Amino acid sequence: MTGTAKLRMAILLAVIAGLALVPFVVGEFYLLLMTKIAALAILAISLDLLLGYSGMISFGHAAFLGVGAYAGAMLAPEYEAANMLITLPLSIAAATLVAFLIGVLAIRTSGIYFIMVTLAFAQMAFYVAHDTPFFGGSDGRLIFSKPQVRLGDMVLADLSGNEIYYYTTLGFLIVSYLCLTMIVRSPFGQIIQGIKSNEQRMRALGFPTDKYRLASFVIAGAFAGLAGYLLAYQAEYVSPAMLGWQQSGLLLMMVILGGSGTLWGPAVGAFLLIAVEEFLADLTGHWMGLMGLFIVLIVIFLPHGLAGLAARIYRPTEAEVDDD
Amino acid sequence: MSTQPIVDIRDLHVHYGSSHILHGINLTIGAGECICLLGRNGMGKTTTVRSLFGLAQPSAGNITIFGDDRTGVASHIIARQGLALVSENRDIFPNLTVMENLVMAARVSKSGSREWSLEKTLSTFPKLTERLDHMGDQLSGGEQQMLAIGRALMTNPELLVLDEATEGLAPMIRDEIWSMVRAIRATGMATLIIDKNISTLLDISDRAIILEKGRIVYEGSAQELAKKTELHARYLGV
Repeated sequence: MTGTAKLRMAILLAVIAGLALVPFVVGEFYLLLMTKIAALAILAISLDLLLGYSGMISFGHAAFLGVGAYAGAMLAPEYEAANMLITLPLSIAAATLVAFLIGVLAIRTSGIYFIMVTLAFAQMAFYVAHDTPFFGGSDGRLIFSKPQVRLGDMVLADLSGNEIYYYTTLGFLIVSYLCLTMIVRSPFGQIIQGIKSNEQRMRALGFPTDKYRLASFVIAGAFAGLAGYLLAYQAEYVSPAMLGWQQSGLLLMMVILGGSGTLWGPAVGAFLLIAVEEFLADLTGHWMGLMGLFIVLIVIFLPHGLAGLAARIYRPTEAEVDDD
Repeated sequence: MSTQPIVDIRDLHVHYGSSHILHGINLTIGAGECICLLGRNGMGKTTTVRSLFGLAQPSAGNITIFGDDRTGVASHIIARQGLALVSENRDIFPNLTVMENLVMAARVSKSGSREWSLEKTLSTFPKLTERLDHMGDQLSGGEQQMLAIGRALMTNPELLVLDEATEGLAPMIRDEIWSMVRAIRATGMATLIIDKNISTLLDISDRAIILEKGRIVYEGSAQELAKKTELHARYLGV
């Protein structure tokens, strides 16, 4: 048991060290791509809290990404850099609030209805962004510079360089991963996993399951808002496409590809999906067809995603599993 | 402690769609009492328990728990009044370890007692101690049943309801579970037990109730019923 924990810690540290070296080995294009992947990985693990741990298949997770991104863009002043210490918490708060409002209504449903309700709300958010001049309509909005970390007039950090922005995003990914890991291992995490496997039983044990499902939904929304903010400033641009159902579908694919219910799996899934997308797009203009094929093959041969493959390769002591 | 019953069910009717399942059930469970609910399949035993826990909606009648009307109340609120259910399909959380299955349910009782701590629960079910790190779905049927009962005890209930606690278990495991139920009963916890093991059940219980087509057809001392073998034949098919 401790051996497994040590191995996990060693792998985690090795991956972090490898990611920290990225700016030294790749060019600017791939650095930007890695920044985008790191932000998408935050989204994927936040969606995994819903999909893999709470049993809530949200087809509208992009809405919170969009709210975080748009809030970040709307709060950015035109002629100077935004202060991250103010704009980031406000963007996360906006995503959290919207997640709460949508969640209050959506958690009354479950299964296929939950999927449809979350999709419907996300599409509503999409059209609000798409059809409202205030939000820039279908053109979206430009952000004119990357944020700074300022206390009063004192600039603590200027995130305008690609390297420092990458490290900032990576830092947020690591913190998000650790936070979500603590959440799923906490008593709260056990309760939502209990709800996933048998909601009625949890109610019979005395847990107000709706409140726990709502809390889980809001937490996931908050992390999605963080990721949205980071993505918006990475691209220095927000557009309604960020909130669309295709985006929500892509996020679900990342989680399924990586293996839901593991947190690290969806993060790897984000990396793999974007990497495969880039690779196939270089090969042919019809890369989307190949991408579809790739996903189908993964689902058929690796039903538990990459995490399932890892578990198959690395099985601890099989001998421990004896029977009654 | 007090003379107030834990549960008082009055004239309970339950419908599933157009079928009338329970026809005016009256049932009182006092503190420390052990009651067995008998009857053939489909006579309404589980429905009685389900409506007590708010899992089935009564169409008429009242359910009072510790003097408060709890008819039609959400099941999580009922559970917090000090009622714990071990259902026939056990419902162990397969994605949690044995330890997590137990501690996630832990709660102090309505009166503030923490009598059923993890230590006490594990000492009652020593088999679980060896399995603490195993996932819920890696347990044998008997171990799952012990875990389900242990999990219910961790909520420090005033009334423990066992619905078919020994269904599908080997006779040896069954005996083990019955001796644990006896130990739990000795602590003074009220219990309502549904099972097909009539002789054991009548031996454990104070009072026996027989349901027939949604109506109570016998209510009396378990010892008395043990002697009335003609009733066993008529209502229980044995």
